[in-house]
Amino acid sequence: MRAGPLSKIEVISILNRYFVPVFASNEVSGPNGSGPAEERAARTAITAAFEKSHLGTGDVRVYLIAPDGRPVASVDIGRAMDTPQLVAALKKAVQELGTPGGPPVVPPKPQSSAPGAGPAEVVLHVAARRLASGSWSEFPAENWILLNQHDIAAMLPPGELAVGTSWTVDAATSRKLLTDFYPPTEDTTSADRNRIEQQSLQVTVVSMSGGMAFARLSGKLRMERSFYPGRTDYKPLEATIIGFMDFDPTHRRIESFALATEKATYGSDGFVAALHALTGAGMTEKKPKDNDSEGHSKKPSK
Amino acid sequence: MRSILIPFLVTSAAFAAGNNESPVESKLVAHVLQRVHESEPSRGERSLDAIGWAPNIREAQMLARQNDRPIFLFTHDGNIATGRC
Repeated sequence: MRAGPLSKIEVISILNRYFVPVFASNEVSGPNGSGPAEERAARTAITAAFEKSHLGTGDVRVYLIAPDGRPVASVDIGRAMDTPQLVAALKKAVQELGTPGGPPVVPPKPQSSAPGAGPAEVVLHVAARRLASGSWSEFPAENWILLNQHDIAAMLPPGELAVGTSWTVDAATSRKLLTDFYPPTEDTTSADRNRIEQQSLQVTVVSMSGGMAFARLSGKLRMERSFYPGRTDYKPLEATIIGFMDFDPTHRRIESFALATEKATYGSDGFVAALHALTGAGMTEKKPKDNDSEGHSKKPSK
Repeated sequence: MRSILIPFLVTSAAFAAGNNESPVESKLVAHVLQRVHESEPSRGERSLDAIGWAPNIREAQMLARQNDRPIFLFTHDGNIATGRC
């Protein structure tokens, strides 16, 4: 849906002008979801109302609901994925209800946003893109990682520091950093199904200046991952990793940090994955030109 | 989110330049940041963000009543916002 109808201007316009759009993950709002009881109860009540009205129900589906809660239409995922059929259903509902158009009820905003972090924590954004055409290549997948003080301490050297000092990030922390380095796969749940066979990150101080140290990172990741949850179609994933880190060894603070795949394959496909720190304080508010407004001008090297 | 990301990239590059890094170090920073840029979703790939989504079902129900608007509820597996779905 995200790469299909929900990316079409006509659908976006209708939703913003006539509807209160909301998406709900089964993992959160489903009967056994992790969300608040009130949210699960609201979802259950909607499903019950649609069952009672014989309009159809399902886990992956579009429900159109009147302002007073009355079921209006239910669109199965097969029809919902077809933009003309979805648009027809939306327009029919608007016409039946006589809904006047207007500005979006909720201002649009980024849906994948950084988690809250304390002053001593570091937020990392991960993005992984399949380097192929077709399904699962329409957009990269994202994750957020929060490094706590323990993680940060585990990434920095324990003793004296000089140019050439080298150490290995402890295994638990490097696993935390690398575990999301896989391209989009079907993820109906967030359960970890990686079978990591080898993962390591080596850090080497390259220069020291003004109380700051600059280090190069290099590493390897080898694991197996099934494309679909619950299946046994495990495919090998191999990646070489490069990165850099600026840090203050005295105050044991990471000022900047980025890791990326140098070469990476999952099965027979190439992919690129990277993470970088979002360190908000003291950032210069500059913004270089964004030349990818259509979304297809990025040409990652395979 | 991009507006949050870009300052970091700029600042990292500026930090590198400001510390008189060797060409090898500057090349490493530029190369890694290029890979970061290549992996990140573009604006066009974030069209989901152009829709004014309610944060949850209960909020959507309240807003629907207040604004006399129907609800568009999409139920799905995984996390559509991050693309891990």
